[in-house]
Amino acid sequence: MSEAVATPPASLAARIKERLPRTLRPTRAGRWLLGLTMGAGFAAINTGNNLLFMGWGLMLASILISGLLSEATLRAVRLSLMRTPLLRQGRSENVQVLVDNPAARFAAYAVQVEVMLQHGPTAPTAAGYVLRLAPGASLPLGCPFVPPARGVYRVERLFARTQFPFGFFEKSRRFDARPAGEVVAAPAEIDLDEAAVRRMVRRGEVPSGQQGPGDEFFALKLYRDGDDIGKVHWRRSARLGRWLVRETEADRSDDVVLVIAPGPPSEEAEQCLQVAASLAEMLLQGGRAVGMRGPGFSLPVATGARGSQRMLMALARCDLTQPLHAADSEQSRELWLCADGVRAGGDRVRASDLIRSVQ
Amino acid sequence: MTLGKVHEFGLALCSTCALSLVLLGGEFPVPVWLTVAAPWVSMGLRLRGRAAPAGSGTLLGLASLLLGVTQIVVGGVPAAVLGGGTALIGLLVARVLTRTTRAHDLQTLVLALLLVLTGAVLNVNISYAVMFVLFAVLAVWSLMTRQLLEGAQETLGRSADGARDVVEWRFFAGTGALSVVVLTVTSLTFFLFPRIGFLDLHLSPKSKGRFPGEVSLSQSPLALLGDDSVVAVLSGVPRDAFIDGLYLRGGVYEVIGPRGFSRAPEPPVMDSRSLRLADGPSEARYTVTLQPFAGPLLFTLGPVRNAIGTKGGGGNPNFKTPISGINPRDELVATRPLASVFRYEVAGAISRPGYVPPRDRKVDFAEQPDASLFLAWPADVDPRVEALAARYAAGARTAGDKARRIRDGLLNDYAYTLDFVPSVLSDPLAEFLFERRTGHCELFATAYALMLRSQGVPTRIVGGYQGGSYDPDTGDVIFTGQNAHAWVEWLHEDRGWIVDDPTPTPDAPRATLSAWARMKRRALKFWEDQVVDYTFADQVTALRSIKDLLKQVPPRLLGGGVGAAVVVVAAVVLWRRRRRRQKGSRLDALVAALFSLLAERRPGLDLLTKTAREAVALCAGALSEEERRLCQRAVAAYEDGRFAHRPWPEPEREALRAQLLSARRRA
Repeated sequence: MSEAVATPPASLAARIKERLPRTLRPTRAGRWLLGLTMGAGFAAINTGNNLLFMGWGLMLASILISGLLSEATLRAVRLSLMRTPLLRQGRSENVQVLVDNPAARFAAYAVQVEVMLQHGPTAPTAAGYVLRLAPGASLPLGCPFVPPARGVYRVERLFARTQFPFGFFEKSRRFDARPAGEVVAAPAEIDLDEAAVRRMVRRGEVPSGQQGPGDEFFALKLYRDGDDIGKVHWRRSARLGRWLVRETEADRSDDVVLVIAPGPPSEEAEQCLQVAASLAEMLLQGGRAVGMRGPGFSLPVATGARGSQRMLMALARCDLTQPLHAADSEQSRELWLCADGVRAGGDRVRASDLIRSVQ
Repeated sequence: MTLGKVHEFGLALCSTCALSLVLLGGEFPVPVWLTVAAPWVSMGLRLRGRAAPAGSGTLLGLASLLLGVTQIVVGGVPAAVLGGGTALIGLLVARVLTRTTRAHDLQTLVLALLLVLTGAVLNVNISYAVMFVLFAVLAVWSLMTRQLLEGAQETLGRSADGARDVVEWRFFAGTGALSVVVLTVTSLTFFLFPRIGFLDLHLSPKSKGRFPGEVSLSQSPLALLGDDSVVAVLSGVPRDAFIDGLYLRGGVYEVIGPRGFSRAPEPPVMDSRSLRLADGPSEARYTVTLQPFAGPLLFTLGPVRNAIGTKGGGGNPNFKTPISGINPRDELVATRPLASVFRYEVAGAISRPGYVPPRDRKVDFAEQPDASLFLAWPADVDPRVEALAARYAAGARTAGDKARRIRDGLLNDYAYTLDFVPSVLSDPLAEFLFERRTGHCELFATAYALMLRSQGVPTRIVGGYQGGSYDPDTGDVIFTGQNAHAWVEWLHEDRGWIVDDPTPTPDAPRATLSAWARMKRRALKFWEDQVVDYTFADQVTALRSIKDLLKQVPPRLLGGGVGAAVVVVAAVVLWRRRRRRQKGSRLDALVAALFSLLAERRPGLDLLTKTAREAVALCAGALSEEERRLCQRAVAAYEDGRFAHRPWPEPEREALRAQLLSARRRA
């Protein structure tokens, strides 16, 4: 968890500088109010109409009180970035921020929390809103955010903004995250064609050399009660005069290792990662054990949600330009995923073939 | 009650206040009062998720704009504020009825604020103050609730209309306190900002004047009487003169007929040096505070020797309206119609009916160019009037004798009533004199003036106020609309115009103000003196009085007091800052670790507005026994440090935090 608490700097100059980052901008209503105030003030000063002075005083008071109360609200609020679960590219999820109101008596109202996320040259934001925060309360606030791309989003700054109390001005206070936090987004989830995936995975299976359930022929044996009559090998049975049934060779295991081939960053490569992420999730949900190897990382075969999280995290952080990590074991069957398709069992299948058609 | 409902209620009240503030000025016809229902209709519609069709709002807005522009075109520049007010009322009603978004709510509030600014000219009564305070409180309420709703809508894309946790006594108390602060700052700004008025635009519909130029006997006298609102306050009038009866002289009517009386289109050309209003029995210097309802006419108690304006009268209270002088009607007039309350000092006699001053000089009335105006005898007067006058004045030779005998005849033979509604509209005078024999002051004055004219005595009718109410605390005499009266002045050939009153009013309204009325009077006086007519000179006076007050305090005591206050404030600020720094970040880290663990254990759980203790209780089911104990210790450490000011030792807090983070990692 990265704590983002505005600590007061030591020197006076630094303290003044620390205060400056507060920004103030009038809202649309505020611009109206300012215009009206100037107009009413001009009219009041020129005509000397005391009741007009009263209205003008009301407007000036609103502006003054607005500034004071918004400052009081922002000074009371503390923001801390919480550990945010892994996000998915293109899906709206929450960036977790802890909003704290240490005041003993006064509730904080209408605080907008904005998390500035740095991702390469882009700086998207996630924003949440606290309608009311009771005195002394701490609120884990989810700020909805749709990651535009996979990867790591660094969080160096958080902003607390408020238009409290009248909505005429928006004042914001900056909180520097020390140390900087991060939010990770896994590749987008893609709707895969289940039949195509089944075929592809089947092609990639390696014979185990043992009898068992499977599709490949293994041996013939004498028929015994209970054997499937559909597996009778009629030609051989007729030739030998005894009932013989076919035995199939069992798959060696359920383990699958997805291999992400390195390559230059491109849209196809990103799509390949999305296919890999979705494929891994689909296989894991189907009860298979899945491992993953890619540029700069290697994950052992695992099952269940934990394995899924680890793979998604690895794919989120994957740098395609890194060299491919060496295989840890020769035992596992590997499915190669490339930007231009899927190589399985020596065959090449395009990634787009695995994506369910929109039609 | 939900936040959405609270907002709707506040907005409806606020809009109603703004509309009432303008309507209470009395410049708009009564049907316009129906507009105050619009905000409530709108509230009902909004709570059902509906609004009036947008097209109806456009039509209503355009119609009100057209009406406003027409008023300005017809009435000229002085009608600009009235026209603007009409347009604003229509626009506000159109906006409030068709609003569907929070932005529309804000537009409603801005229009309401504009209406309040317009009310600064259209309503200068004390009702403005009441409505202004209410408006300020409700505007704070509406703006705060709107802002909370708007923020949720903008940030989350969903409304917080149904939120209930905000609507609690603390919220209302906070809103009330904020309103008080806003009003205090408003008052300080109002009283301290230098009054540097450069212009006097005179944009007041009141400057048109309301004093009737023509009075019809067919109408109820209440049309002239009006309500019980104060029209003039006199200070410095001797109490004896009040007891004898005061006649506050206003406008003079020369054209008299059986159906009413009116002012001549042009003032008569008379020799004012010799044919002036006769002196009264007593002399006085008095101050008149006059409401702006009679154009440039300034009311007096009798002949004026000297008069000077002291304050107000124009659109800008910093400019005094000059007094023009005495016109040929013996009226005191200002240089231009009054737009606000005007104060002026008068030195002169106090006239009283029946008093004939000593011989002055002989003038030849017949030589006056417009002498015939005061003897004019309309052709449609019933002949019995002249016969009745002749019967009353039989044997009298002088004007004084004739006046006395006719007046005595009217006083003896006729009775006073306000319930005179003529059945014969063509000749209400004849109906009064020969059938009903009861009537009000206008009928008595008309009958008396015409009967004197039939006997060759020049006469004119005077409209004004009689009696008044005495304020024993200040010695002021207050005239209200209920004191309105009409009487007669007849010309004594060598003593001028003599004040005379033929109306039998034994119960003339001369009263002492009750305690409640005196209190109301104080409030009104404060409103007029310290708010409506607050000037730069008043500010200087107030500052001088503060300076004088401070001078009375010994310098050492003053300096010591200021120094002690500065030291105390500085000490409090430093202590608070130190305390905050001491407990701030460590406690934050502890509670952050706690919530981090809880969020990990119960993802997706809504911990909105929950305290640390509540959050732990909510997540207790998902925690192991060891973790629960750890969380409870963390809550205790947090609460002791923040609220009980008994911070746990730092190593212990750090250990707790480390354990919480470790537990989260294990998860």
